[in-house]
Amino acid sequence: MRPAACPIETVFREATPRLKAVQAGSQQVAVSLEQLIRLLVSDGPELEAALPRLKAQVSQRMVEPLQVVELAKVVAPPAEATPILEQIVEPQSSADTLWLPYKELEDMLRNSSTTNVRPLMEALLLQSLASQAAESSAAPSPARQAA
Amino acid sequence: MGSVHPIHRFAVDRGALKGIGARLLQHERDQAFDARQLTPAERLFFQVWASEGFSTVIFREGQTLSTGGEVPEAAYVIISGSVVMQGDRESYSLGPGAVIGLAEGLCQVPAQLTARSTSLLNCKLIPMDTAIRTVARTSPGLREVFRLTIRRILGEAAPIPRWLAA
Repeated sequence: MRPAACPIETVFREATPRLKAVQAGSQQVAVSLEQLIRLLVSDGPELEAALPRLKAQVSQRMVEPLQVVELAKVVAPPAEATPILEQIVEPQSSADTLWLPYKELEDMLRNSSTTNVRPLMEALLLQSLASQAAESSAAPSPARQAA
Repeated sequence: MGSVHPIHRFAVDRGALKGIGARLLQHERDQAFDARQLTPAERLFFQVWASEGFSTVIFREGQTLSTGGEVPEAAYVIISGSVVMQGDRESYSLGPGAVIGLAEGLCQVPAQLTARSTSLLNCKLIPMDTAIRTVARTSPGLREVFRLTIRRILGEAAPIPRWLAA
């Protein structure tokens, strides 16, 4: 069940400066922030209906996954945000795509009070990129298959 | 098979990072990254290489870093040199920037392949007990990112430990 405590105006006011900052260092985003926020704070059926569209936008990189992460953190406590994230943020097929934009993650790491978490996160992201690249290079290319 | 110079499945081009000082402040690094239009892998590799949070360890050729079927007690980031990953049915080479055993170690699951150095190897060492304690203390939001990233590496069925779950 989603929390009903956050009026949309409050959520939007709190989220906008952070997301504008995120956007400034990021690619152009085709979906409006307000639209996203409204989707995330909406009740079950509306959110359910919107998920496929939101997932498509993420997979086409019209909206970055981390923006959804940021939004979910603002509008919902972590336990509530997690199932939303799991539905929206899916592995992307492109081997050379870093699914979290580096600059946005930067902000999260800078705000972390835990010492040394940053290099660990960076090493894990590097392992993610390497494993995608390794899998990609292991798959026979169409040309190789044809040969 | 039988190639003298193995083709790396993954390796970062260290040449792209030449001249960027490890002592630069983060915003100065970011400027250098942007100016050189570095890829995400190159940026992350530089960050890990320049990190003071990890110690450096050297392996001679032919030494085993981790063994298939065993839970890694440490993870390694290759800084220079190369490693062959060997299993019953596959074998491939990794170079600078490859990370060995971090996701597996955080989840405490056995490594699938054995990692062995094929040259003099310079690595960053990540002891798993320290890594687990660090990640467990961090914010729920970052733990979520860790969890999602681990799933991308190990697959959706990866057994996420309780301390990392939401």
